Amino acid sequence: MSQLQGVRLEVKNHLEGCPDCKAELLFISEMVEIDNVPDPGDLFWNTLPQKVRASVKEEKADRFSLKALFFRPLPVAATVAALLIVIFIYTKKVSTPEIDPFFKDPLMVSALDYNGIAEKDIPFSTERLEVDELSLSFKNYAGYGYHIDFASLSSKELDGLYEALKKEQKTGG
Amino acid sequence: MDEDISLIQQYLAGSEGAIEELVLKYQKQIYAFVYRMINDMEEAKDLTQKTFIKAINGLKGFRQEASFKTWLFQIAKNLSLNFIKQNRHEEIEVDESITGSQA
Repeated sequence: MSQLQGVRLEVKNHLEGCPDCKAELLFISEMVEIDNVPDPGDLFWNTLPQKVRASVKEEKADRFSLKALFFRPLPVAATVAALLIVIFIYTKKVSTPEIDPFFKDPLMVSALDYNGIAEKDIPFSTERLEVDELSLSFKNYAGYGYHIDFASLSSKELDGLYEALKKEQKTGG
Repeated sequence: MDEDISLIQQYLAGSEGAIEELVLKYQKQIYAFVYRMINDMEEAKDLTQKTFIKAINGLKGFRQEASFKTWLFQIAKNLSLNFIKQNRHEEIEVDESITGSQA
């Protein structure tokens, strides 16, 4: 066994029982391999620790935590109250207004009970309706009587009537 | 190794400066490891940063079953493999679109 082989065996035996030296050897081997890797430059090496620190801090702040809820109850309570108001207004708007039962079911009108209602209590009686209708179509209709009378006259009688009215100066218009 | 555990405990106790020390200690090894996997300097820089961010964000779940260094390399390896996989998908899509347009 040469001297080199003896040293190797000694190192190997030591490494098996010493995790610190094993890790150090691994680190050294990695560093040797690093030589083949392009160096991104000092700017990268010098700023990376701060960049990582800042990113971690930012992500931590963005994360939702119950602890934050506990320590900042006022904004949380305000948000919850605003949400409740919005939900209340929304449900009020969406809910349908109460519909008149007669509108909903017109047939219900036929089931109405008229017993116990006196004729005088009905504001629009049949009698008054007839009078009103007559007054509209007969009494208040201007010239109705004349039309009927004129239609029954002969042409001779009409001429006579015309002459008589002319004398009294009631023609024209 | 004990130094890493001590730095992790300091960070968990609220000392953010411990993050910088951990990054300073391992940044070159992680960068070289990632570069050897993906062979792209800019992407290796980006993935190195992502490795540390992911590792530090997950420190609360780190159970010390393996060393911090092993854990860090495992994260770097996973991120690199994901990157390679994603890149392959993109390459295949580009290839398909080229062959499709030629047909």
